[in-house]
Amino acid sequence: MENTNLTEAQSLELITSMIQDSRARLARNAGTPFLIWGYTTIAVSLFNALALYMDWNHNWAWSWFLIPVIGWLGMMLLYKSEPSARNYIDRIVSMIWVVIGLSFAWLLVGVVVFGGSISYLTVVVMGIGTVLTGCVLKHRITAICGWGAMCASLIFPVAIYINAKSDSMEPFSEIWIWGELVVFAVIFLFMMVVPGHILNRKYNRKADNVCSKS
Amino acid sequence: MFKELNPLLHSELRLAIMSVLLSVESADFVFLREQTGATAGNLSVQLDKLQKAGYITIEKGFKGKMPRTTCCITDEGIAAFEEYVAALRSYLGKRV
Repeated sequence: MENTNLTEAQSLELITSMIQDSRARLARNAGTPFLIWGYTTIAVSLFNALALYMDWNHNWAWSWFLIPVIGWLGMMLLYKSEPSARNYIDRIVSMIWVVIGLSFAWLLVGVVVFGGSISYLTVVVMGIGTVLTGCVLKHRITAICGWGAMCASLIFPVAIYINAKSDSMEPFSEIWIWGELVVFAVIFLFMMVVPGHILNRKYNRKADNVCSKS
Repeated sequence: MFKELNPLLHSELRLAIMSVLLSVESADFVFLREQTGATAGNLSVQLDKLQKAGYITIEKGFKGKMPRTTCCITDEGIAAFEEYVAALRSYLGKRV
């Protein structure tokens, strides 16, 4: 691009194309944070389900702390590799997840101290974040996945109720020891991984079209 | 009577910079260079002109160990841009 003067029509055309191209470029990899957190949570959940199924040492439960570590490293690598520009949608989505993360940590302390289902709490809080992200991005599938996950989270209190009513040696109670984490992983698959891939497919294609034009 | 077009904005590269900055809250030098396809030297000169006019702010900092220049459009820049677009519309409207 040179420092030449344009006609009036060319000026308007340039303004329109620059605004559209910037938006398309910024939306590239919009779904990648969902994929980083989603795949990490699924992997750690399934690993812990396996550890419970095989009756390994309980110290493996410390592996849950790998989720924030891997998640933050992944996010840092993602933002390092992208050219830096931010629009107000990025800022709103970032703030939503900061608030969700802090609220989750605060509620987790309460659940650990006073008792309750951590799986239920996690899915509901992360589901709220997913719905809000879908609404801000105007992406209906993401919002629906978030709502779906929140509805599915009712499985956890229902399972607690069934367990409380039944003998602890019944097949359901035996399976639920590790099965809870498998259900948790499946919910995360539909709440984060599926919308993450759909978002990337949609926005990366737009950004690629912009790059190929320029 | 036609409104006079702002000469500072009526150049391809400066108009492209202002359009990009209008659609984002902030953008660094690399993003602007990739988006406009301009050379680093030319982009730097034009950013300086826009900053002197008060249309953008430029902040120099670091991203990790790499130096980073971040640009933002100012309220004065937004007002000048809106005025420029209104003037363009009046030109095109009267010709049609």
